[in-house]
Parts: sequence; structure tokens; C-alpha cells
Amino acid sequence: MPQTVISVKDLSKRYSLGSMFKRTKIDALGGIEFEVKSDEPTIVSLIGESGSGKTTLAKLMLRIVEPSGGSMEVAGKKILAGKKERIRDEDLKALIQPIFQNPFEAFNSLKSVDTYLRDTAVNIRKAEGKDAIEKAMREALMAVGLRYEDVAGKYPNQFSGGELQRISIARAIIARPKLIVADEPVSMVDASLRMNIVNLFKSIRDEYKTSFLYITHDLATAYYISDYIVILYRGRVVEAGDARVVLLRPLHPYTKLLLNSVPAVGQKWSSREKMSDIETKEYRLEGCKFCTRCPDRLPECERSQPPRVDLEDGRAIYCFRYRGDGKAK
Amino acid sequence: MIRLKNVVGTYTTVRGTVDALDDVTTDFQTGNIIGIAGESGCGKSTLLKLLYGNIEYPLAMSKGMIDYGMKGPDGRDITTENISEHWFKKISYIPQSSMSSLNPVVKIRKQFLDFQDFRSRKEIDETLEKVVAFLRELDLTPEVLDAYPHQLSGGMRQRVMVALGTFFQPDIILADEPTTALDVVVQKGILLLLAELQRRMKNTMFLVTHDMGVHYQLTHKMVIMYAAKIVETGDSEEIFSRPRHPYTKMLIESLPRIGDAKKLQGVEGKPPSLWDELRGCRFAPRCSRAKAECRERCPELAAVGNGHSVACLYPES
Repeated sequence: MPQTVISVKDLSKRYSLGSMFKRTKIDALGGIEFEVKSDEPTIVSLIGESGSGKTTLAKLMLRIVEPSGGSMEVAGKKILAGKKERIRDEDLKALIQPIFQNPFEAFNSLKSVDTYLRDTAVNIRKAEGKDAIEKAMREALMAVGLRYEDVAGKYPNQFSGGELQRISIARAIIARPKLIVADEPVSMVDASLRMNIVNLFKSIRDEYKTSFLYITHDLATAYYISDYIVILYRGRVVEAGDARVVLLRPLHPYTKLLLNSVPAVGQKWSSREKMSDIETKEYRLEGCKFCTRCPDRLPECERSQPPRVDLEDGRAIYCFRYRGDGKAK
Repeated sequence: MIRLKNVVGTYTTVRGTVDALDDVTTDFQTGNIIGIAGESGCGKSTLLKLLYGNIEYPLAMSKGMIDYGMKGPDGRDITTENISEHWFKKISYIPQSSMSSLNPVVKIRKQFLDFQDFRSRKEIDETLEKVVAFLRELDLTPEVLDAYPHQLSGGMRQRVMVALGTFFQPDIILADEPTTALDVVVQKGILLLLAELQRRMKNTMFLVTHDMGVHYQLTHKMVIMYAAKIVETGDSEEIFSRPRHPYTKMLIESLPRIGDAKKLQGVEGKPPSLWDELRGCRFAPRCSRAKAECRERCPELAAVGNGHSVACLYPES
């Protein structure tokens, strides 16, 4: 029986916008569900554009914000659920660790970077004694290709963005988490260094048996590293499944649009589509959130949310166009 | 032809001065989209600032000159000193962050009229009519004229910036990471729009971005920069199919492609600090092909045929 890597059920987060007299409610996440089961550690990519809810999901997992409803499990443990059912904050830190987008903002410029590593070793790894703490730090830094001697006692401004991001990863793996949540971890890193960081995720997955939730808008790196992929649009899942299945044979019209827009080397763009304007009103659509932009729209798309259809190739798709065998209706 | 001769761009800081653009000599053919690629700190934004003539403390053009090969309406040559008089009309700049470039307390309509002195109400109306027609070509409704910048989405704001930068059909357009903050779908729309406008107006567009995929899609010519120097220039097709500088080659080879399962490797190490005294080729410490000579002698940008130039002592074949 494969283990649950991540399982999300009916998870929602509602924000209020506007002034005191003109409030609008927006579902940043409108009841999403997906589950990834595997015996092996898995890299799950969460793909979406701005406003898709991908960062909201990361914040919910780290309990930076509270959900409006629904539940979530990671590695068989309930992390989001009723206050009594879910694991304690302390256990959550040992289970899930974050890596943030901007390495220059993640570190306090007045603290030496090894303070962060030491604090994680003491407070989360529960390492005791000077030797054990240093050993944990050395090991983690080695795993990301840095030497303890080159890092100890230095301040963030003495490192490049790529190096700081490596240190962030080292800090996360000191805690030996089951899952690392990485929110756009390479978008601020220079192109020549980017693939080295991305390769680290693969090696850490295999060496440390850590799963990743890789949150990004970059489909090409997602294809390169991920095992499973979830595509979000306006707070809803549109398509989810094995990364190769979904990206090589996309079915949902939104996934196709995204893939067509990637500026890939070796494949020139064809003509440009008329540009639409993204409005908050899309969140309030009764039916499919994508229907106003969808070239394959059906009458029912405007009336109700498309149901989840599970296809034979293991993917789930939310589109009225498809039947269970993956054929168009 | 726009010619740069021994241009040095220097920043003054508390620590002293640093050359963010170091002795750059090159020619740009007009009528093309010229892509400038490189990593943070390579001098690509400094190059744009110098081209735009937006040279203010702490930046200074300490050496060299730029020959724009253009004359103003008064018949005088356009130079670095007087180019600011021709902003928007002859040369325009499309920045990365439209939110911090548009005036937040002024409606878009006023921002379109700020360029000119009008003598009568009729002139204003005529100009506005042209603006509306132009906005429609950019898939923008005329209603944006009555909006304040914050009322527009990021993509619409960036299209307003494109409209402002191209309305007078300038000879030179400088676009500095124009779509970096945008989603891929919107990015494609705006970039193809820019390419369409350039094709129609036949002006010279400098496009700065670190995304090699974007360069592949749009540019005719490429300039690759590394640590304040130009290391390679040439036709984009040629650069992508046959890169001669090891840095360019590694950059292109490290790009992931959907459908390709090959293991990729980035470039190890990091660019040198411009504060240090730099000898030899600046890429040599990270270069797998570097020989002893590379660490001693600084290679000059030299032609290797087909309009392709490279600054490398042992270029790729």
C-alpha cells in the first residue's frame, strides 16, 4: 500500500478585499483536492500564475495563515484539520520545512548565517552537545556542496544569491523533514546557477528521502525535476497527475495555453492571441474559472463547476470536455 | 549604426569607484531587435542607462563615447549630452516595474499628454484620438485613460508602458526586463506585441532580459555580457545554434526543455567581484576550457566570421 505523500481535501481559504463599505470575498483557494501516493520520496510541482493560490497553499501548510475549511495530510500526519485532530506546531516544524523565494530577505543581515543552521539543529533536530550540533551542520552543508569552514561566522552579504539559497536548503535539511516546501526557490537565482540548485533537490530527495513541494510558474524546470504535477488556476485544481503525462500530453485548455506560452529555445512562438484582462471577477464566476478565456467553452461551463474526472493514465482533470477514458465529449 | 567606443560606466560609492561597464567597443546595426543577456551585475542595465543618456550620480560615463548616428529636428547630432531632450520622441525606455514608473496620482490620460505643449484644445483632442486608436491596437480599451495606475492589472499597466514608449515611434526603444514580473501567458502577449510594433516601425529595440528563451523568441541580434564586458555578439540564430564563447554555450546548454530528460548542469562558481583587480579573461575561473594563458591575457572582442564576434582566446569551434 503506497504511503500518502500529500493529501489535500476540500481545502479553502477566503480573503476579504476592498474598503470597509465595499467588501468582496475572494476564494484564494476554493476547495481544492489532490493526493500524491508513493512509496518513494516524491517531488511534487505546484504550477500556477499569480493569483492561482499556490503561495496561499504554502502558507497554509506552514500555518502562517489558517484555512477557511478542509484538511490536509503530509506523510500520513494530519497537518490541517480541527485543532484537536491535527499535529502540534512543534511536530509540524520537524515534518515540514520551508525554502523561500528571495534568499536576501530570508536571512537577517545582522546575524551570521550559521546562527540559523545552529538554531535549527538545536531547536528542531534536538541535537545536544557542541559536537553533535557541528556534525549536523557540516553534513547538511556538505549535501549542498558547501564547506562548514567557508560558511561559519560569515554574514549574508558575503554570499551570492545562489550560495545563500544553498544555505537555506542546508538549514531545511538539518531538521530532517519529510517534506520541504520551496516557493519559487530559483526565480531570484542567476540562470547559470539555477540548474545546480534544482539538481540539489533531486539528490536530497534520493539521499535524505525527503519529498518536495516545488511551487513555481516555470514549467520547464518543473518538467525537469518533478514526479507529480498539480496545475492551479484561480484557486482551483485544473489538472493533476504524473509530470510527464500532464506536460507531454496536456488535456485541459488552460494547461495547453500555459505550455504554448513558454518561451522555449528551439521552438518559435506562433501568432499572438488577443490579450484578455485578468480581473478579480474571475474568482466569482459560478462555473469554471477559466471559461471566459477558454477556446473550447461549452454552455455548461458557465453554469457550474466542472466535476473531477479521473482518467486511465492516472491524472485528474476538471473539465466538462473529457470523459473517463480521456476522450473529448 | 549605433557605435560605442571604449565606453566605461563607473559608479562612485563610499568604498571607491567601480567600473560596471568596462571598456566596451561595439557597433549595433539599426532596425533590429538586439537582445542583451547576462547575469545580475554583468552591466546590462548600466549599458541601457548610458544609451538612454540617463547618467546621474553615482553613475558616470568616465571614458569613451556613443555615436547614435542620428540628428535631432534642429539638425544637430544627437549625443550623450543632449539625448535627454529627445526622450520619447527619438529614444524611449520601457522599464521593468510599471508600478514605480507611472505617476500614481495622475490618470493615464494625463500621462499621455505630458510629453507635449499644446496650443489649443483642438490639438489635445486630436492627440487623444490618436492615443485611443493606438491603445486599441494594443488590445486596450480607451477606458484605461480614465484609470489611475493602481486600478490596472500588472499586464495592462505594462501594456500602457509599451504604449507610452512607442506612441511617438522613436528610433530607439530600450526595454529593460519588460516582462519579468508577469505571468507567462501575459508575457507572451506583450513580447509578441513589442515584436509586432518593431516590425512595423522598423526602429532599433534593445531588449534586456536574463531569460534566454525570450531572446530566442524575439531577437535578431544578441549581445552576451559577463562581468562588465561584452563576451559575444552576433546573429541570434547563429548564437543559439553555434555559440563560440564557453559561457554562452554553458548558458544555452543549461536550459531545461520540456520533453528532454537529459541531466543538466549549471555553470559552477560565481562571477568575479568587480572590486578585485581582474587579470586575464574574467570567465577563466569558471571555464572548463581555460588554459594558463587565459588567466594572464584579457581577450578582445574579435570577429570570427558571419558577423559573429567573440572575446575568447580559445573559442568553441
